[in-house]
Amino acid sequence: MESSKSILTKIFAEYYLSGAQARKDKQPIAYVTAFTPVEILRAMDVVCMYPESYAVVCSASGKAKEMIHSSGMGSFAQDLCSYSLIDFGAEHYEKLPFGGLPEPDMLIAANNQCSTTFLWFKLLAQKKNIPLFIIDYPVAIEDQTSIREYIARQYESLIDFVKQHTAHKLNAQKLNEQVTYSAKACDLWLQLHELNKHAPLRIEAYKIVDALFPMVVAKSTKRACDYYEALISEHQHPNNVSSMDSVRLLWHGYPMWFLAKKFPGDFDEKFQIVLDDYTLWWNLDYKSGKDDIDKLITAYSNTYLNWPIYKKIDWVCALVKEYAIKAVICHANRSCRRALADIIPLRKELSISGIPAVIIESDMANPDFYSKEQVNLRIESFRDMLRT
Amino acid sequence: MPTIQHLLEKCKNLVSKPDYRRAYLLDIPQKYRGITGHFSNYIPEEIIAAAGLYPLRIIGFWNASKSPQRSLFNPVCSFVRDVFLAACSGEFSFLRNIVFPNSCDSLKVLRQMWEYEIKKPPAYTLLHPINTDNSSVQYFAHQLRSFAGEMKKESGVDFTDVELRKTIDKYNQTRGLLRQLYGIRRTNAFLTGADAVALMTAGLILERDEYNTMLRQIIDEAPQNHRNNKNLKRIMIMGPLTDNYALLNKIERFGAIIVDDDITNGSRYCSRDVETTGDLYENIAKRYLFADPGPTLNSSIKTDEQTFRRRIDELDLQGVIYINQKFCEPHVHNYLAKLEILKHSGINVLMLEIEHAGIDTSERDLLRIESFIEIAGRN
Amino acid sequence: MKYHLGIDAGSSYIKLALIDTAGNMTAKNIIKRGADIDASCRQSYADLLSEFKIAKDQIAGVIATGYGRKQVSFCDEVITEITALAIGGFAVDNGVRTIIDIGGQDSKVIAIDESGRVVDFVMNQKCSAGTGKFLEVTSASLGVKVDELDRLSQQADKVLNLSSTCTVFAETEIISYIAMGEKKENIIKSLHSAISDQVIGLFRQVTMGDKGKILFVGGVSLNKAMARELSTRLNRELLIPQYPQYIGAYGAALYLKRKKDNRSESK
Repeated sequence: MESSKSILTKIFAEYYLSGAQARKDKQPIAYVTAFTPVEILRAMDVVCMYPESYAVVCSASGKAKEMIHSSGMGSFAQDLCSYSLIDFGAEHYEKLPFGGLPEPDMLIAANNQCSTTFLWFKLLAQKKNIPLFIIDYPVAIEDQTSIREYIARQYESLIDFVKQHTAHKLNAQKLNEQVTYSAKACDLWLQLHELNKHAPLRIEAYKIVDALFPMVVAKSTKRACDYYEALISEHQHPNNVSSMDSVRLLWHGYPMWFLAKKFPGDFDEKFQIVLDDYTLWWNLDYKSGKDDIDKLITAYSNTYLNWPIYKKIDWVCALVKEYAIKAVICHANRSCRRALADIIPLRKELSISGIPAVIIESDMANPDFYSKEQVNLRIESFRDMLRT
Repeated sequence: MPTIQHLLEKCKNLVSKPDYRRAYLLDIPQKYRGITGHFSNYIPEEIIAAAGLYPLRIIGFWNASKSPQRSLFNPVCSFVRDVFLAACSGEFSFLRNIVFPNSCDSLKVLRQMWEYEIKKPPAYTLLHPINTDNSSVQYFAHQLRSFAGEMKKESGVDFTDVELRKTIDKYNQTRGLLRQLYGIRRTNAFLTGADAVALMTAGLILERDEYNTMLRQIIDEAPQNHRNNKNLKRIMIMGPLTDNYALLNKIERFGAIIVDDDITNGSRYCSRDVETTGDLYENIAKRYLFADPGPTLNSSIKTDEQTFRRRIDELDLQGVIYINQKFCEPHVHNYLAKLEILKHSGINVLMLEIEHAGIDTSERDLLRIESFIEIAGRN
Repeated sequence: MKYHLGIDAGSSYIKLALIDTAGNMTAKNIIKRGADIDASCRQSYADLLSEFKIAKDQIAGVIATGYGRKQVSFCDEVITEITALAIGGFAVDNGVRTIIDIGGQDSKVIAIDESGRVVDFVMNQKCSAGTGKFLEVTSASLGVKVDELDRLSQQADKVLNLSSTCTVFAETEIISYIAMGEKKENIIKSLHSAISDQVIGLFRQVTMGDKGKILFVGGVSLNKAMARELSTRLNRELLIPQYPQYIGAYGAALYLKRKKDNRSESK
């Protein structure tokens, strides 16, 4: 079996070279948001690029601060999502990782994670003078037929939109392939996390975060499935840095991309993060629906950030039980208002169930809002509290 | 008959003094089955009114009733934080119910906190679309029918299209009168901009018949109160809900006149009417989607740009003041979107960020406003 | 006689507490933090020994807490202030279940159980004007000394709106109120109200809030106006220890002493 490292290298290379290749082959390029139904776009031979994922790469490579400041928006717009600020800064910044993203031919955003992505892409569309399509997911679907129909009509409009701007048609077989791989990738992604239901851990949580990239940019591909299969098989045994009697922690929310190991604070075999629930946001339900389009409606309307508050809380509490979590660290990420809404209520509900939780404030991508002393004090004090 | 000054004083009090506002609302006519609070230009008041309920737009409390922040992080818009504090203090206890829109994330956060912590009065979310094409109209019409059903259940009033047409007429009257007022104000500064905004904002609170009567009187008396604004710098204000009367007053004291606005509780509230022939819910859906090209809707970028350019050309402006709420994302984006157009037209722009909690204007902001008005129009 | 020394290397002040074999605080010292925390602590240590005529070899152990704890080169151990405050607070009165600390740089609310163990804690959010620094800076801009705050606050006839999200904004607002001719008394009252807002917000998040006694510590607790404001708003009596700034240092020293005592008992 090919190693996961080797497969990941190929996925990275393919993704970042796909833009240049698309230009050469005169294939259309779309910028998409993290939870856009790319299966439809790929089934129409559109190359999809993710500015949010690129912002993560910029943050991880230590360039976020400079890029945000070079955008000139630091003084009046620093409260905007740092992914978008990094993207605005990319326009004025010279030494971009991987040479930057290729220019898009169209923009396709969904509001199933936040309204910011729609506002950001609308501004981009105006600046670049290119067509924009927004998919509106008003709410996480349960049994509301009218909303399902509304989304279905939007998907039809999306197909027309892409046809209008590319002359490409939807290939039903390709669509089915994409959806099948996405479903498989989600299964494997969940299995990877479930390795850590055991004690000691099989894989460090930050390595799962590192493994997120294919789920974001390539989940509807065979390559992504191969990668996760390899990763799972390479971590069948307990890793060396874990202990049977460690305090098992859940990290709730975004990691910090600018930190090498994604989480701040001192963790060790006695005090370790077992799971970051943020990575499970990508475990979408691709199996419920009468056909591929219907499955995509279910999958993409039921993203974590589109859920009502009680569903979010119940989900996290269920994870706490499943993974035998002893304590939770909640990351109040300044950039994400929707995620901020659940932090204090979640902490309260966890406390009722006897699970202590501490809140630390920072930002997912902008180190300007990370105060190491403040964060470490809270985590260290939390650890002290748990020890006694 | 009360004088215009008396009417404007009432409006200012309603906008600036929560206690006055509450006292007014507790005294509304018996015929109303309860007060339905709401937050947005996308919530059709005519449907609420047809159900025999009193539509009330929630505006700021300016932290008048203080209650410690318990469950809300700071990076949500200051208006939402202000409302959250007010809700925790029981400011909404006399409302029948409250309706949320499906627009910005800060309001979605408030909606979630309402469900989790505040709980009363009961909340309903109107799932309006953010796209503004034909399929969105159909979807929205369907949602409006459900919304009407909920309001009927709430009030016990099973209204038909006949009653709905009556309330549409009333609200169309309001919108028409307000548009007339805008037209008059372009050449007659009989109302200061601050007073005009207070008048429009009070209309979100006042009983409909009372308000329409008030508007008619003010419009009728406009000619005899003609005021020349030639020596004043012509300013437009932009932004979300702008209910800071004191700030607007201060802006005009530096030698400016607010001749127009692009604010939620201003021109965006009253553009276009609801048609009354054909399917009323579809007509309401069309009006509410196409009338207000606010930043939280996905309207055509090109059309918005053209409309905006035409408007600023007509107004002969010397400056624009963008009054944004702290942490309001949609309006920062809107500001960026309009900035290039304004700069290209040679119009100076000042961006202010205000906090709903705290003082109405700080010395720092006043200095910026004064300097801005001094240099406005020099391009 | 052997002593244990606790050092609370805070952001504004360095506090030292010396405890005897019975766990009583027998000596203390406080100095303003200099740029070099270690040097400041050494100086304060030397001053303490000299003032109370204690020989260095009588010191059985030194422990540091507070923001600067890791910079104290001559300590045997470090602990977080949360733990230190909990131990110190519980030692003051074992009926205490909640500790409110308004320090120079942050505010904390700590919940402890009947054995003095920390069961919950919360600290102030970013961008919140709920700290001692805020009070210090704004009092200075009003030209008012800390010991005048209580008298002036009681003479207020209204509470003004002050931003309780950001110290910088709040300071700008105060300057505006001064320019508008607002009474100093009203501004001071409003300052305390704004800080209370923040602290009460924290208090409500903590599980033990309704049970047991509330201990109010930190330098700001010496400010009677603050104590009164908090007590009124919480509708609860606040217990303020004799030396509220030293509770962290005291608790740290107790921790070290107990640890050493346990170690020698098990030998």
